Amino acid sequence: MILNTSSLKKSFGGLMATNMVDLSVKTGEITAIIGPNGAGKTTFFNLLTGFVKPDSGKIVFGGKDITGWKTNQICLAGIARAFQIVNIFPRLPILKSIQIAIFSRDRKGLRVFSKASDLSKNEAFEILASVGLEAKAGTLGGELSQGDQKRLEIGIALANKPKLLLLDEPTAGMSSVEKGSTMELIRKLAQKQDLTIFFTEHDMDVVFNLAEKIWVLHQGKIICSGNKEEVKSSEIVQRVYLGEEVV
Amino acid sequence: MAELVSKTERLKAYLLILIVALFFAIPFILSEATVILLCEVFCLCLFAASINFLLGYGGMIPFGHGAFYGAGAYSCAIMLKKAGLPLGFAILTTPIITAILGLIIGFFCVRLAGLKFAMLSLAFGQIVWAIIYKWYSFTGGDDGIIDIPLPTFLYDSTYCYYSIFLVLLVALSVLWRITNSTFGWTLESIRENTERVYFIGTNARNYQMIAFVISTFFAGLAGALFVLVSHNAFPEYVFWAKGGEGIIMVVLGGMFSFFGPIIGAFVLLFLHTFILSQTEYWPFFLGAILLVVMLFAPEGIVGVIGRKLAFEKEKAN
Amino acid sequence: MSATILLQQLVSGISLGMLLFIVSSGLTLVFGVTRIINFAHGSFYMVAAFFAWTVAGSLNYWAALIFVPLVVAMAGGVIEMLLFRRIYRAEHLVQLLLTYALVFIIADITKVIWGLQPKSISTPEILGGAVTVFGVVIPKYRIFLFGLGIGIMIGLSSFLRKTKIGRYIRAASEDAEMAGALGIKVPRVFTLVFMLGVWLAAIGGVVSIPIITIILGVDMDIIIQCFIVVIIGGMGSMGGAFLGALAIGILDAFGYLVIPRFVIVLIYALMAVVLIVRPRGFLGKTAE
Repeated sequence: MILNTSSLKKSFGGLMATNMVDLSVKTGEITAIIGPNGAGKTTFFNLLTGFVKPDSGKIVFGGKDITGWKTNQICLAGIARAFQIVNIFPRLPILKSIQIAIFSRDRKGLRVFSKASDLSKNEAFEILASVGLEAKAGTLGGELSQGDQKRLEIGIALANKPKLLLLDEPTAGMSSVEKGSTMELIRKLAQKQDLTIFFTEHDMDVVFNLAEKIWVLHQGKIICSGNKEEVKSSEIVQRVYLGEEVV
Repeated sequence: MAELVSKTERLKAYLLILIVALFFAIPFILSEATVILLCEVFCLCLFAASINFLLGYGGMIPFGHGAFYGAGAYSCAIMLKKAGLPLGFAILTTPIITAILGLIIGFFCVRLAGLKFAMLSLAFGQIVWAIIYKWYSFTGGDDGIIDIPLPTFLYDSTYCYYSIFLVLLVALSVLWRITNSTFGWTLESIRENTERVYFIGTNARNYQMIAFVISTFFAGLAGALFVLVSHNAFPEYVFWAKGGEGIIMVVLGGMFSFFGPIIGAFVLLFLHTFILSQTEYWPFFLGAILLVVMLFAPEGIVGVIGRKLAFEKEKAN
Repeated sequence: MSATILLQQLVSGISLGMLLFIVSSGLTLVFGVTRIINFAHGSFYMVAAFFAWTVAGSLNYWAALIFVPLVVAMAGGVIEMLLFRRIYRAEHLVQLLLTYALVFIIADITKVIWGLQPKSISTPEILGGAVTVFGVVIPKYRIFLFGLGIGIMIGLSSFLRKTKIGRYIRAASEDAEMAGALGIKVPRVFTLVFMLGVWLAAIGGVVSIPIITIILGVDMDIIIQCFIVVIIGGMGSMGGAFLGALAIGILDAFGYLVIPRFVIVLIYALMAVVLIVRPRGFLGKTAE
């Protein structure tokens, strides 16, 4: 297991956003976590990435207890995140954005007398190529189309050479064509050695198409987990999702 | 594509060398009054550049930076006049002193963002000003420090000009190097999206602090250099309005470019001198110009030129 | 140090605090609704003071108190429509520098009209003199200031809480887009709020003239003090401004007794401490 949470708990005010969550992600297995709106998926990702501290419980990544670690430490340990609402560097050319992410990973950010434009350029190009953006290397982040910005999101996360890649609703707001190519991209990435994909999604087609293991979250609690047949046939899941996306 | 890039790079380099050469020639061409004015401009260029390091590259609004400029001036002045230390020593240690001050102040300021950062830096800046203003026995308070002893050759405006210009060139080169380093690039990413930076593995707050210290180092150096021109140090140099002046220069020239603030400093000081020669109502004109720029061209002079060039390029294609 | 002296200073501090509250309430109100920190707020204060000096000189103080704030508020409204409307969506820095530019412009216009000589007038007859309470001499004018401050505090809160327009203002300050979607004419609300803010600054300016020397430069003095009050009290909070202004007034008065020269350091230090320890101020909200 590359990731393990035990009895993870987080509440905001009176609201229990994460309620005793025991979850594990198998190395190399495309895993998804789903749930209706407000189920607590974003909070969960925030907990995993150290953006929010759990009230109690443990998070173990690659054998190390990372509970309470800071976001940047967790990132350097090997968890990267691509955001649902695009969270890029709008005024920077995308090649530069990737290079900066690489500097961060290699801990080269403090070299005040280096010449940044030459460093890690090839690797940055390769990463752009792996998400299909190499032709637009000089374009500013803010000038890309929505779909391309999502690819850049993933690219920036990949620059970290993560072992676990968290994708927050990677196909949100996309046309079916774009969804198709994004799914292709995710499948391609999943085949990389040493990379486990853990994503959350609203579109059930995407989930059932990609995920090998699915966890279902409802009001902060895990109500079901398994492969797509098990989840589809689960009574609890059907009840919870009645009125939501077709299961 | 690659060839075109190096051609514009080479053109820019040639232009730069030409401009620097021109500046070397100025004492032989222009009047002494202009030469002395230019000495003052050089100091303000460095000050503006130090502010822009935080503002344009780091995305922080340092409203209280006048304190570091003024503290630099006072530090140098006191070392020269009261302690009788040699000039070289004063010039070298002053930036270190202001950097330490920047470390203390920056530690608190970087915990806040946006307007709160600006206000806290203003508060600290005013504390520094108030201390300098009221500590009569050490700083001379309202009277300031005058008749500062300098090495004789610096009383000649030409030598003063070249000395300050050389220090300016060195300082700007170092700053240029830093902005184009991995540190400078990371700083820019912090400006663009502070939160995201943590998610790529960098503790943005630490970088902001380091940037603050670097900035105050150069601001203090600028203040120290100013003592060479003015031969005095007054509380006005520390007052928050000085920092405001600096920010105006940066924004006027263009805050997203390295040379913007430098151009802004030139433009502002020359406008100041010219308008003052015609009328006493300089603040009105400053306000009017700033108003127009903020409404119609907030990207500054360099920004406007950049837009024009991009437009021309589009037309050509 | 006798109790009388301490009480005397307390009274002095409270009345100074009241004056500061009257002016800063305008600043915090405008910020709370439009999210703009108006550097020129102090400039309106100063113009009102000079203008009131003229009116009080030719007519009387009470005419000044009634008419000057209205006229200045209307000028404020014009400025809001011509300038501020364009920058509500601009970056913080642009807004800051634009209002900073206004300070310079208004200062020079003031200089042209009223010159550099300091101005002052004597306290109007009815409010002159003092009363003695428990051995403490309280000038009647300070009681007037105190009453005015409380009156404005109550008046403003009632206005915001109980009138229809007040509710529109509060809606617009919570979520301007939502308010607009609900049919509230947000630009008009913003103009009204701005004029109200300027009106408050102007009232502050007019009531200042008997006790402060009016001279070019008071605009900077008062705006810095207002910034401190608003930051300490919490940006956008009326109650916070009240508490903050009182705190500053009292700190100023007592600081004078103890370390007269460094009082100003104390006040800036208070602002710094609040920003470090509790950035949202006494009564401010967290989100920004």
